[in-house]
Amino acid sequence: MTARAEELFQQHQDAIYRRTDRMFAVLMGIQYIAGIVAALAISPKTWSGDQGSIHVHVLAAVFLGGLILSLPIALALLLPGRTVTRHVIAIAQMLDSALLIHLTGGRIETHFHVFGSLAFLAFYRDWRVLISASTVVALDHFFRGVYWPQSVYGILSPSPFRWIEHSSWVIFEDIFIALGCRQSIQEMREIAEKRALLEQVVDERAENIAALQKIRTQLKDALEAKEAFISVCGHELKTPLTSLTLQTQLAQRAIKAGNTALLSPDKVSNLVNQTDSQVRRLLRLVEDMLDHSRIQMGKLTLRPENVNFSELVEEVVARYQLQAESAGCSIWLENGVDLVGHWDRFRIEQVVTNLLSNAIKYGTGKPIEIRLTGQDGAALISVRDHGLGISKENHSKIFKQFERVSISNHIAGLGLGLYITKNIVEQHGGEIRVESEPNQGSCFTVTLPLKFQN
Amino acid sequence: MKKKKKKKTALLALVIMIWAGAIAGGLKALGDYANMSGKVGKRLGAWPSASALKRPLDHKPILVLFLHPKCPCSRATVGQLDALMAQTNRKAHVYAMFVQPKGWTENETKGPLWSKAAEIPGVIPILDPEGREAKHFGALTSGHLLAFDGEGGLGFSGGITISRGHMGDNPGLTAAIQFVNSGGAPIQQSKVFGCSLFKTHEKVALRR
Repeated sequence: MTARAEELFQQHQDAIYRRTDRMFAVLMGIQYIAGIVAALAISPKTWSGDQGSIHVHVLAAVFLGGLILSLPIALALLLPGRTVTRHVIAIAQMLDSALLIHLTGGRIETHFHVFGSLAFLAFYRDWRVLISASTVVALDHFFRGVYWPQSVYGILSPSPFRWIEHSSWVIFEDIFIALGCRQSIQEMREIAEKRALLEQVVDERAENIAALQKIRTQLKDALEAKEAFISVCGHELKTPLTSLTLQTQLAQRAIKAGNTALLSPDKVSNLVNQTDSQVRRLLRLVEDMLDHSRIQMGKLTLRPENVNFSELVEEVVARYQLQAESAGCSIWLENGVDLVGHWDRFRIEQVVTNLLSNAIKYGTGKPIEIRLTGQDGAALISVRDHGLGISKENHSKIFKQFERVSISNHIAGLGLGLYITKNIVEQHGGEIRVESEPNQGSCFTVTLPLKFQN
Repeated sequence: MKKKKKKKTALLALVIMIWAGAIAGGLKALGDYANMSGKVGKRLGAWPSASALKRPLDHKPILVLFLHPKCPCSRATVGQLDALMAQTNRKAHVYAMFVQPKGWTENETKGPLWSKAAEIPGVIPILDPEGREAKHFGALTSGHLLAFDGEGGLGFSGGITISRGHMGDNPGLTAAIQFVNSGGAPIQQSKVFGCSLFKTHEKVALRR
């Protein structure tokens, strides 16, 4: 029997004990009233000539009957389900039988109260209570047989073993009731085992349903993400393409019209620069999309090599110096250490680029501070701007795909930069965190172990 | 916690013991009451000459049973009388003398016990106003039976129940049956269990 089945069986048994205790409390209340009614009907008064007084049987029904039944009723109400309660009930039931038999003048018919009581005790499905009850019957017959034989056997000199004969009939009934109890307990155990099994199946089903619901939610989210991705991609790709189309049309019209002013070397150079800028932007978007796809499929592979971190950061800063200046931002680089890490150079460069381009984008023309430090075998880079900032509830959002929490709509982007950055950093065994408040700027700090374990 | 539980268990055991002891005492007192026999008047040798009840002269035994009309214990006596009648096959004249206390109407006296006695074949219920006949026969307790032979000699005097209100074989019943069937009884008297036929002060006077 499993622990759960045993627990269910115990619960069932306890419920039966408590219910039967309550039934007996009610039955005993009825018996008490019935005893008084019987005494009043059979022997209301004892007489002395024309003077009548209350018969002792009425007093016995009220007080002795009350005494016999008070304790079992109290226990049934105060300690239901306890072993002592049902045994006291069994004993009291037999004592009440003795009282009722006495009140009815020892009528044979009243003796059936004993057998009826044993049958009622069978509701407990506990054969042990039959022992308590039958012991009372046996002792009652034994002592009466010794001290007052005529009250129970109707004769003055019964055989000394007559009490055994009488008790045997009670035991005869007990045997069949006990067998019934045993069978009932066996069935209760089987029910408990089946119920435990059923509960297990139901739990498993519930778990399966929950898992399916989770998958469904994930699929729905993935579908929504895909839709969002397509929408964002469409929008982001359209902007440089529109710009390219306009520039191409402008060049075509100038060529057709033979407008030399528009085709001067300066103008053409400007046009080519703009076209190059838009193509680079398109390339970056396509790269981001491909990286996103690689991350999603778990195919973002790293090619580690020894990378001088300080040099790498300086190169990126130098590359973005012009863009930063055109955005009105000055870049302050604090680079007092010489750190060499074993990383994927291209990807680490991508991380620094993303952080710096974000700082330029959201920096609102204020200074940008980059600080490089080393700590416990790891390289730390923090990029701080003094721009728009991010509210606390959005700190975790910004590292998710397609999340853009900027209040400024004119800033372009797929919302993949920090998502890709975080994935690259984590693949290198590092971590990224942000400290930021609205309009107070943001500080992104990346920690990268120098010796990366792939 | 364990100590508290032990204390509670001990208290419960004590309550159960007191409860069982009180019940045993109650049942014992009830048994003692059931075994408490009634008083018996002066013993007769033969049919009282002062009796107004005419003794039949057909030489058949005569049984005279005195009853209080409302005595609950005497219901068992009448039941025993029924058993006696069944085992003696109308070999005796049987009179059930119902004492009619002073001030009681005939209807009050002829209650359920009268009807029950009247239903037994061969039993003649007779009213005994103010217990005059009971006084002649020396009967003070309901359920007192006197068995006379055909010549008026007293063969047995006593009760025919085992205790107050309890039916069953007993020496008094056996003696009465044997007296009717064979003319001799193994015992001449037995205890009488039932209500008093007279008030206490009347009883004292009669016993004197």
